[in-house]
Amino acid sequence: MVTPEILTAFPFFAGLSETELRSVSIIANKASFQRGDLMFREDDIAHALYLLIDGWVDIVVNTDATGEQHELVTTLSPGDIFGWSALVDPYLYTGSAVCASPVEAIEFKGADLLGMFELDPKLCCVIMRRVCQSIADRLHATRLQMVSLFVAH
Amino acid sequence: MIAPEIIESFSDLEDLQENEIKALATLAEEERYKPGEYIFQEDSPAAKLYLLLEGRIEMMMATNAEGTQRAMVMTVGPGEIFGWSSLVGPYQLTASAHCATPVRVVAITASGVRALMTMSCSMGYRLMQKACQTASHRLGATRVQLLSTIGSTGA
Repeated sequence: MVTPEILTAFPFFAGLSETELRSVSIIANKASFQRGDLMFREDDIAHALYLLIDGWVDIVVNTDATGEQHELVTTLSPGDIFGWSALVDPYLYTGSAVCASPVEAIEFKGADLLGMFELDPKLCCVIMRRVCQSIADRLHATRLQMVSLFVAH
Repeated sequence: MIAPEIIESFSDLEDLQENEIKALATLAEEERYKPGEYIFQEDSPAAKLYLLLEGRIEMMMATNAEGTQRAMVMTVGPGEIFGWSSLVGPYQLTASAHCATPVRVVAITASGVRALMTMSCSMGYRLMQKACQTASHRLGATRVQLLSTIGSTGA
């Protein structure tokens, strides 16, 4: 488990009540990785959601049917949430996460999150809304990236 | 306002409570579009959530700065919901909705849906989960588009 204080340092968990933070911190686990480690692979069953605490994580996607070709789509930095497929149907990772440096992350197992949600629907709503917002923010950032490429040419 | 049964017929909404469905029905209106018309344009404010009753919609994203070239990122068929950006900040549409055929939709005022969601956890969770799914697909499609743009411009 992880202390609530560590979680509140990150915007994703800001504004939660003490009880809610406690519930979330109980199911949170610290996870450390080395540079080059594969945290999860595209198309694998999404068993966990992650909050990046320290380091950089590359998100890589397959660009051909055989899975031989990969492209880097984004690099995540501390505070970013990833692996959200652990909460979203069909519960399969949509990209691979490779550590670009030594990494410290907090891992939330999907099964633990869903169990917590059964007990506290309101918390469930709050977390789901924030996960949705994270994806939407990522989508808007990616679109801006694309538009800036158009303008440059 | 439309008949609640119409809202209930959408599989993504069938788990909602009766009062939630009735509330959505009071916020909804039926709209019709001709082939070639756009229901909404990429980048404009997302004010409504749409339920497709009849026809086919092509979701298009601009592939140049002027917005004169577009790529289709997905299609929407009857029984599906689109316009999910109306439920998540910054409430800005991420694609244009092009009618490939004559179209009949139910348009629901999004500010009303968002208010209902804060009052009802089960509805909020269900809709947010669906919105996550769509945003995730759209993110995937945008990434593919980004990679091909990088490839073609040699950036």
